[in-house]
Amino acid sequence: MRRFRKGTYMRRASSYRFRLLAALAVASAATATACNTDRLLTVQRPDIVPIGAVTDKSALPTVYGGVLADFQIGFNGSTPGGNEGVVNYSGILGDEFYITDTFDTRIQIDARYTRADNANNDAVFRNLARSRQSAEQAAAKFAQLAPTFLAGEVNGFAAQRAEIFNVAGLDYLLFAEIYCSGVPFDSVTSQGAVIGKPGLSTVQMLRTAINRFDSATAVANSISPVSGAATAQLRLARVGKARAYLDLADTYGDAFLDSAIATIGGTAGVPTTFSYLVSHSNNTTRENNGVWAFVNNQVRWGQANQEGNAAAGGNVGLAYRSQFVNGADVRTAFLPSTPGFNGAGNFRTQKYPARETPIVVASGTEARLIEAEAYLRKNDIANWLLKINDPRHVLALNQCAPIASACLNPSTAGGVETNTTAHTTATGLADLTDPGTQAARENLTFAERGFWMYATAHRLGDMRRLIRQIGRPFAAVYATGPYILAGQPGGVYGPAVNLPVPIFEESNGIFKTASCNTATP
Amino acid sequence: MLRLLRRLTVAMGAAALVPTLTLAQQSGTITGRVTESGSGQPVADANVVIVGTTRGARTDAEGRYRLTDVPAGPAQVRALRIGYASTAQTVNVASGSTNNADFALSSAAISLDRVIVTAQGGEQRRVEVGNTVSNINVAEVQKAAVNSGASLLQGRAAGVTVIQNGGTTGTSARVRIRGANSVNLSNEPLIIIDNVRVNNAFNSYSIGVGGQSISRLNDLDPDEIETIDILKGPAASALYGTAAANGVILVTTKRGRAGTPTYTTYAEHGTIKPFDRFPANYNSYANGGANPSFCFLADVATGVARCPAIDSLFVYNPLVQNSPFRTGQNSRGGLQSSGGNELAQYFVSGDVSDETGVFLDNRLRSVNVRSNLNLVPFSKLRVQINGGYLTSRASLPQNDNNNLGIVSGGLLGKARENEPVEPASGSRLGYFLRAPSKLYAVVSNQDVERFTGGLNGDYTPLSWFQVLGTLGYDVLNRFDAGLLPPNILDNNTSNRIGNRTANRFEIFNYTANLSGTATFNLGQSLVSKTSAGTQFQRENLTDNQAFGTTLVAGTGSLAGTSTGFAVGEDQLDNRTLGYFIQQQLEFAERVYLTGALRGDKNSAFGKDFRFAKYPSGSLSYVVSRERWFPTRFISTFKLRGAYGVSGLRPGPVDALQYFNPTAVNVVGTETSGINVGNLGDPNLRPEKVREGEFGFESSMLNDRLGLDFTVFDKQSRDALISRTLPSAAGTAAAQLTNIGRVSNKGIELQATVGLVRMERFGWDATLNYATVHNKLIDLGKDLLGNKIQPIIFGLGGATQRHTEGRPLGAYYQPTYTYADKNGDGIIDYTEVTVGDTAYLGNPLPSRTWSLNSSMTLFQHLHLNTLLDAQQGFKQFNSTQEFRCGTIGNCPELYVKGSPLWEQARAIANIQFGTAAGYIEDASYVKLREVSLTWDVPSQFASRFGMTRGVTVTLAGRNLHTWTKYTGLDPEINFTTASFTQAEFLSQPPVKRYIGRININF
Repeated sequence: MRRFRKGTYMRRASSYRFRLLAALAVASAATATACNTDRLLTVQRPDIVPIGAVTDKSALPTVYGGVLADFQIGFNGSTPGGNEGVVNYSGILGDEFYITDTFDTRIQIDARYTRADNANNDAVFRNLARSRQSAEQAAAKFAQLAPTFLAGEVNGFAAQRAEIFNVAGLDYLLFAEIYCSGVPFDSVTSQGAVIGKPGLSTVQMLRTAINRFDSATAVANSISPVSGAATAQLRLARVGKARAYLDLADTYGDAFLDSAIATIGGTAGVPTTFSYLVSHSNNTTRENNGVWAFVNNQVRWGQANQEGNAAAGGNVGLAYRSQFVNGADVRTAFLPSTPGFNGAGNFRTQKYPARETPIVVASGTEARLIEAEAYLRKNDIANWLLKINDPRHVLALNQCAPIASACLNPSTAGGVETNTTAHTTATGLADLTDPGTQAARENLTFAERGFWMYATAHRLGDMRRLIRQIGRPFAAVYATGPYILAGQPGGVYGPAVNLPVPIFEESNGIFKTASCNTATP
Repeated sequence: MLRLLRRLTVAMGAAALVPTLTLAQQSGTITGRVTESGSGQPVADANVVIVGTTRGARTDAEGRYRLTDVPAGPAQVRALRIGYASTAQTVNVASGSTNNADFALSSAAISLDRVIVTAQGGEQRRVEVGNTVSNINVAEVQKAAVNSGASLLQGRAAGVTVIQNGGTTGTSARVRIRGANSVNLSNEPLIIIDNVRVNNAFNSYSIGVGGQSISRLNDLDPDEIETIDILKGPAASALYGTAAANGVILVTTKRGRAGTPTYTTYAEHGTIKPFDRFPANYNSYANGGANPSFCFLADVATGVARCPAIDSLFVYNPLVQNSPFRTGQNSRGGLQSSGGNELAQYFVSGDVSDETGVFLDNRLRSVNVRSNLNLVPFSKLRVQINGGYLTSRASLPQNDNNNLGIVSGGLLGKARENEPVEPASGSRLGYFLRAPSKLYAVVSNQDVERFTGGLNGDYTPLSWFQVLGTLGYDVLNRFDAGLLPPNILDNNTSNRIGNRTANRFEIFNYTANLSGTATFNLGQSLVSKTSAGTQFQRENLTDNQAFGTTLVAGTGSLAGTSTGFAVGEDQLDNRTLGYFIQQQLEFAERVYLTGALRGDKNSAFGKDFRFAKYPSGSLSYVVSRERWFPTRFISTFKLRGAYGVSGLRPGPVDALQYFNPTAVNVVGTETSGINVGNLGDPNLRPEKVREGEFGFESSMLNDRLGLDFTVFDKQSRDALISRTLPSAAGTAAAQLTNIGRVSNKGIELQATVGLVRMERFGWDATLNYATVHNKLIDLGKDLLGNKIQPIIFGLGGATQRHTEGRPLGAYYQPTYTYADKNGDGIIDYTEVTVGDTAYLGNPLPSRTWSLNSSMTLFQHLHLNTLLDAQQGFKQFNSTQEFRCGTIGNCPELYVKGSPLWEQARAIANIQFGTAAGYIEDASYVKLREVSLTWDVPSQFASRFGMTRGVTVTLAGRNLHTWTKYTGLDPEINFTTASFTQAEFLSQPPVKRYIGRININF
């Protein structure tokens, strides 16, 4: 009886409850529909620059700034928490520096058996690739927006665009000289999709560099009237292009030596006092000079001196420290030994004495030395001697115009380490005399290049030409035999003459690590 | 239509404003007392509910309860409490009268009536859920043996693995529940305190000290916590939506009790012993020893020209002979009070603690204050107001992968001739870079002010309809500071000029939940519960970061810096809006069938992805309640199964394509630029984890044996993989994409045994055992349809991989073989042969077990021990690998007679760069806790007014380790990254000894 009444009661109550619940459900649904729930989920994101913000010419200055920022990192690295640039890594491989670090990934590079999965090498490679991609995309963006330029803006944007092309050319050139043959240059769509490309051979990379320098020249030549910025870019393009011609002379013969000379165009084309710099500053740590950071500050590397001990079976590198004589040759000044990162002795370079010291990428000195090498290869000894001596009696040490003071007199510039070994600000170096034999002239030429352009990512390309074009044996150019890492367990020097493309590139779907032979110069 | 709308409007208004509309205005009151069967002792905090309704009350300290406004007529009333079997009786409620119903509860190993907190913020009995829920009754955990939130979880729940990083005070541990689901997102479980979602960051410190960090899990004060429930996966946590795929840790803080105010005070003090098995450093010299020149045994044996013979050998142990350690101290004290009446109960507590670690600059000080208020403004409304405040300061030492580290410096130092014992000017005292007195000058602090508050409402306008609501607020103010004074560390320019870091964070978590549950009796034995609701959750982080160098001596703030400035700012805002509906059918109090669906929107989803759906279902069948079930030996047997889907959201900006702003100097002029930031993915969606589990719970042999067994299968689909982009693409290094699949399968077993129950001796034991087999099933394809290559990472750059068919973070290295061909007892460079790169093992344990034993002697003395084991995993002993392969100071390179396998692995590393010999089996068993507690006899305690008892406890933690691992400790990691696992110059876990007294008034 109770259950029946309860059941009946429950049925009545249940039916009421169901109607009530249904009403509540309808009301809730209506409420939810009426409320704009998307507003609850709208957030602000002020930390980032959305893609849509780079759509008109007002963004081009920051795009241009980004290209230079990326090139700074790719070329010369930064700190802290950052990575080295190709100046550092080519310098390690080319025996401008030796290791006083504990990172196995860096030791591999110094000992010349860099593995394809080397994470540090990957980071440096990516930075340079980013510089290249950034420049290519920026150049395209400038071209896309060109129709919107006002008359008074055209020249300014053209100068920037010319420089962007030059940066792209420098990137291809650096890849060609520092990495193995077969470096891919993938592309990225506007939606962010990566399109893998097959690798370019060293020759192809150098020819692509020439193409970019030509583009820079064309754009700079369009600037009227000619401006200082346009002139600087024209000169930079000349030096870059001539450098590529020199590298290609083994493939295309003496014609490219002539091209190198013609491209420079003598002092009229590129004055000996010209220089193109990557600027650094103390404004942010990202803008610090990467060589200073890793050599002088973190003491992970030291300035080398004849790396590879001949007595132990290795070969003799350039005497970057032995040649230093107080007041005589200050191009590779250094500080006395201090403990390195691993506790072993470390010699810090005085070429980059401060975090804001700029680095020369290309210069009139390089132009003269390109001419000198080309003339030497053509057996024009008279011109060779003229060219090789030109920088010695024209320039003060460590040309760094226009920021001269920090480089010419590092011991007095603000925030700079004191050079405890006094040296004079010599206004020049004594002229060289003809040593008499072709081999000795070649040695002198490449030594002059090594000292003038110490730690500027030129040495590795020089060593490549010594083997391929000058015909020196491998063991006469690169250290061999026991690899004695100061203060640490060692092994033997590896066979590599350049750096590998990282194994992570295999995800482009085309590249295979096996195609990259780092033992082939 | 109009008439229908009018009816609906009237119905809605009536339901809201006239709670007693549906029933006749006839009700009564039920009161009674709940006691323990046999002893007659009152059972406090028991839940007394009216079956089939949402009405209930809790017993006070005397075991008394009172239920008002109970509809007249027969009402079935049930009493339940953790640790006891529930019991029910029918009460005929007379209108306007007070009816009595007393209950006597018997103890039970498995209690199906234990109450669990639900996603809506309400409560549910364990019998109703089809998934397993682990419970830690924190009130019964011996606090003296627990020093952090992480150690509270360790070894107490099957399938919950706590992976300690080491023994530095204040640093974090990783928590994994049923393995790791995500390759790139966090694998830490969600933490909810009193229905409020709180910050659960395990890497909550922005200044590098070498690898360790701080976990917000350690903000939990164990003395404030009543109980912890752990939902282990999507089968249980689906209704928590996007964020709960790694499991949920539900923390319930203590509540007030109706009755006379009670007070508890406690004080503890302990010591922390420094690790004492650091290895010595070795060096040998050749050719006179004037300038150290490396000469290994292998060099001499191979005939290396510069090493004709080893003419001297030096041994020095700076960590012992110039010890930087001290014996740490831990002090703690607190006061708690609870009380109240039927309408209002309170709980307040305050706790002060100060722990100094074994490093001179390692310390953690904190003050915790809590106030919980339960109010019953009127019979149909219950309100909880909870508030907890924490202020703390943590100071961390430099260690791990850090050239300024204390342990790092000691392990990497070179032994030199005539190493001075007394500090000498410029001497390193055998350390790698500088003596500890200089290294201790580096300061790294974190100051925290944290408030977690919540308002929970439980409104029952109708006997069958319950509305639950929660408003929650968790704000964390964090100040991370670093200071390097000038002119102390002179190893490089940056250190010599000094620097200052000041990073300030504000992290908010907002919670808003609203749900309604309607309960119907559909027939004699069928009950229906329908729930629906909405949840909003917001995580908002803002920070400012500042750094400067060239610090003026004597200053310690940014005001004293003058160069090298770096500033940064972040604003990260993430919001989730979720809706859910759930239907549960209960048949005859033995079958419970539940189905639910949750849908989420999140501000981090890609613009082309809108809604994530998370279905779930479960079945619970209490077979033992069937009349035909033989209960003679098995008193309780419940079968259960559950399936659910939950998610993990991407980061706030992962879906977006954007640039980063940057600064650049152009010929002396500072300007701005942009560079590539992220490629983004407009289709980016949450990582979904699907889980199915099946198991049973059983109590047998007169409730002396309880078994809880589960087998689970969990798969994450659309796993967010940070796909490494080609190096030459010149864009971001990686792109987060939903392309992967990860599997975790295993079993869990908890066995609780009453081994001995005698008047003067009792012995209970609980065994937790779990396995998890983790596998990366699929890494997916890239946009071109090519298989994604293994993701290579790890200490050293390439020691670990995420590769298909293997556990996440698997160790890979080139293998090697060796043989002492000439029998000279030396492995030289010609006697090691390297092979191909191969899989060597997984970094996370595949088997864990713990054994908790509790003995009671003479009713007043309790001896508890906890054995804790993690097995089936490897550890990269990078400390020894680095000492041998890079620094060259390990004995096996110099000492003839060293085991050949040790020599071989060193030579293989030096010669071929393989660390395979250092990927070691790290399985271990630890004597984790031992505690001895004495309940002071009441006749003594009451003389001093301590009417409710005094306990004195002596405890020890991390007392012994059994392992074959040759490194410092298998329970160690140099970093807090999700999968990177290695011992590298890290501080091992330390031994603790604590004494504690609890006084209850």
